[in-house]
Amino acid sequence: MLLAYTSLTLRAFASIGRSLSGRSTLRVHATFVQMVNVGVNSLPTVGLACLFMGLVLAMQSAGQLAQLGATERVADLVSFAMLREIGPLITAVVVIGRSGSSITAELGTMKVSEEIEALEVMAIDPVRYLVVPRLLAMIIMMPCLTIIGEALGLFGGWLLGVNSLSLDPLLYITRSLQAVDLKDLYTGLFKSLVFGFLIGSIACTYGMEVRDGAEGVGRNTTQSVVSCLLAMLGMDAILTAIFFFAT
Amino acid sequence: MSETKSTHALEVRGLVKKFGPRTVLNDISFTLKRGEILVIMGGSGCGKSTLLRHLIGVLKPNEGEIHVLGTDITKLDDDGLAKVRRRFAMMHQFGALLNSLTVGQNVALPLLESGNVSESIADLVVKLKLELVGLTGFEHLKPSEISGGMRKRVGMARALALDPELLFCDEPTSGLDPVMTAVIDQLTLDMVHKLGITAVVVTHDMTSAFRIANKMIMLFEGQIIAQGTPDEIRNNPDPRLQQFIKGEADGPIPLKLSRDDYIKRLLSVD
Amino acid sequence: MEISERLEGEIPVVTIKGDIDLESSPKLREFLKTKSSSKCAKLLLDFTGVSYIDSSGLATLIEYFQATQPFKGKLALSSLSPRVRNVFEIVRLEQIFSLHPDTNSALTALNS
Repeated sequence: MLLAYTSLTLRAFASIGRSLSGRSTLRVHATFVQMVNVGVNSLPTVGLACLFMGLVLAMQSAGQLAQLGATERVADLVSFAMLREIGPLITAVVVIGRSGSSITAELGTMKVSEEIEALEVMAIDPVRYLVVPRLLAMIIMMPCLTIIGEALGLFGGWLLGVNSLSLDPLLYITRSLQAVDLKDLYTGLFKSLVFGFLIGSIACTYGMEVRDGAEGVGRNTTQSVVSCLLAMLGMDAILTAIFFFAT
Repeated sequence: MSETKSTHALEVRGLVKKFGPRTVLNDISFTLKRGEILVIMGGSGCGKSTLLRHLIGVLKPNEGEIHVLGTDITKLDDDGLAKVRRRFAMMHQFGALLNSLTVGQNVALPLLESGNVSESIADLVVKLKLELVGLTGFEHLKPSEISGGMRKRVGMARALALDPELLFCDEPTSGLDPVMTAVIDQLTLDMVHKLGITAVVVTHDMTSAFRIANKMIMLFEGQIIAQGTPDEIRNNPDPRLQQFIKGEADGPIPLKLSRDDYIKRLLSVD
Repeated sequence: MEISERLEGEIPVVTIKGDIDLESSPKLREFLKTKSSSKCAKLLLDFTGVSYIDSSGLATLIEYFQATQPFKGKLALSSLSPRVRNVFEIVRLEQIFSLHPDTNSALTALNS
């Protein structure tokens, strides 16, 4: 599977390269359709998940910080954690469950019903036709989803802080902004971009590699979700180490 | 139109294919002249679909050469293969239509992807091709909204969209009613006799096979046991061939185990 | 494919040389578009030099035919080789286009 993954990813980049150098055309319309599938349609779920995480973060930290007599620091903790970690992570988890699995299932079904073979025989490269739009949509939409998710997560923390912890609404916002700097935002967004690439490429590989009919579609879809999650969390650890730990 | 003009549309030499230890195609050799219809016959599991998948470059043989329209496709990379594939087309057994597209979009797909055709021209070609297979007015339906036989005919229309020099059909008439079978047979004949294309048809429909073939190949357990004109095939004394042509249940093609073997198997404990 | 044009009386006679296929049919389409936008009343296409026409070529001709309907333009095709004629007949286009064995009979038909 690793071999298939590497070869598919290289073919996808080669195909994008050929499109950029004008030797073939990029399927722009199809990419937008996939961006709606992957991105716009995931927005409610991503938004709600991040909102809840904001509430949870604020509640969990409130008790601990109150013991130190620093309840107002809830704002710092929520914004810090949300931008650096929780926002990209929760968004990725939602997108894996929702869009990663559906990409694998869709491509897998096309493989089983000989649609992909038919494309090849018509001299239409399935990588250019199917994989590239999905991969690009994933890479473009993940940071967009993440930034909206983060905003809603911060809003969740603010809601709890203002309503249950009686913090000053404006002071909360000021503290939130002071606690983080630009690096926290862009490292978080960079993470989400890498996650998007991982989810897109892994989900497509498992889809294109489906064998043995309907059973294979089910098996690969499960495998795809598991691999996406593990790859995403592993990459998260590596990137966090590079950005915040090793330096 | 084309650069390589050999007299043979197809030339297969010494093709061997193994899946693991099992030899599914053994020393297959044949040629097909341009402007002829080749029918490949054989029972289920004899390797005829596997052979077809070699001819269209989906499978690579372990040994042997496959010359399609003058080029040995076993030695080509992806780009080279795509170049040959633009000159032939395949009608898949179940149509293999893209389910996310409408019937019309499916037929237009090869045209639009060829990069030279504008949408209004593609629309007109779609109308011409759907009329050929008797599906005028079905452009806007999805493949899931039409019957299996119709999907097959859309597959035929899509295969003809780019006016191929060589047409491969996998079981083109199975599951079609007698009238539509005749329509598809006549269409294949017209394409070959009037437009001068070459066709390779895999089928086990004997009526249809004898109606269209110039040349026939009978596969049995991965080997060619007979090839020749329809008359030669009809008069071939090989009992396996005769059983297949006449569609008899009893004969040299083993269907049932012998009585002793059967009882032994039933009563044996693994 | 090459396209050349001469006038026979007031009728433009267009001689096409070469194959009309995916590569060349856009060129023919451009040419016919200028004819339809100038509301060319009568047009004769001489197919003597055409050995092959594909479906995109047929579609190009149909598109021109559609475009001439509003101003009742006449189109005639002449000197089709048997193989090219077969391409028209397989999709029953001989019932729409007026096909003629030579330019003279086509001109007569256009003038009548």
